[in-house]
Amino acid sequence: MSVILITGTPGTGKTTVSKLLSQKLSIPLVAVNDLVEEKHLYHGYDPEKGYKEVDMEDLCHELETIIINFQKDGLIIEGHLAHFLENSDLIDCVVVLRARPDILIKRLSKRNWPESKVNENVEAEALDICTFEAVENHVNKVNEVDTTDLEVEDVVDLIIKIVNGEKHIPPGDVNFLEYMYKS
Amino acid sequence: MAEKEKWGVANVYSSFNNTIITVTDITGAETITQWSGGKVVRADRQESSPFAAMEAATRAAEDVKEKGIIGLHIKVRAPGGNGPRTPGPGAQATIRALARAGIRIGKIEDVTPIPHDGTGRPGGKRGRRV
Ligand SMILES: Nc1ncnc2c1ncn2[C@@H]1O[C@H](COP(=O)(O)OP(=O)(O)O)[C@@H](O)[C@H]1O
Ligand SMILES: [Mg+2]
Repeated sequence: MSVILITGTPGTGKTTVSKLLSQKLSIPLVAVNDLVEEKHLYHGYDPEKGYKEVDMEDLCHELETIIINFQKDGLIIEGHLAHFLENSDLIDCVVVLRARPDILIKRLSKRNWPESKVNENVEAEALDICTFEAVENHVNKVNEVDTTDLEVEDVVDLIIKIVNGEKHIPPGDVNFLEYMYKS
Repeated sequence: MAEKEKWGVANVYSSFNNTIITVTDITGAETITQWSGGKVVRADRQESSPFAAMEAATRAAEDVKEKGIIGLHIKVRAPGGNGPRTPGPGAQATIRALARAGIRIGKIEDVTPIPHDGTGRPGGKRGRRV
């Protein structure tokens, strides 16, 4: 069975999509954010931005251990830090979920975050940050799915095709940088 | 004489596919000029090339000089360009082209955003060079 990493900027739909994907494929799901809490994989707190600074080495190590134990059943790992798992031999594919910045801003505005936090994430989305980082570690295993005009179900079905090897969507077709233009 | 020298800020945004340069006054309030790789090359596929970024920077430099600005501080937002595997040499090409166009380059800051919700990777500790 497959080991799948689902990543993307917060708000792009990772948790929603991964839950349904996990049901449809009947394989377990690990949410990186929950794992970080459970195993205390952070070593600091950024008071300005309001987030726990994850110990990336500990996280990598923890993910590797989980994958080695669950490999046979297959596994979905979801979170905006999932792609930082460095050992690409342990995984089958990476899916980076994308959402157009104007849509993302609406979704993140519902989270009661400070405006600066919403904006930093939207900027990260416009600049393809997660895609870049995923490609750095996992090169040809990376797929980029623009969810902007898709329903959750469609995204899940597309990922199943990717997992089954019926489809490969290499990164590079998503272009959101124009949202950085000041009007 | 020296205190009359006008400086601005160049925000350089570089993604997988494109580079945008936005020059503002020193306070960031007023946009002086804005160019993108996509605006200066015809083919979509060339938008991300260092050539497009350089071309955009050269155009921006012309506008900037016309406004009497002699130097620019640089704020770079660019995830790539550090490894052999990823594209994104746009940021470096942009800065070099500005300098070549006769603009003085001041402080260069990396202000690349970090995706984060309740968690995130530690910031500013990647040893990035621009
Ligand atoms: N393809 C989609 N179409 C429409 N809304 C979506 C889609 N994917 C996710 N959403 C919505 O966006 C919001 C954020 O999704 P979530 O799964 O929490 O994102 P993440 O885990 O990436 O932060 C949720 O309200 C969810 O219902
Ligand atoms: Mg989530």
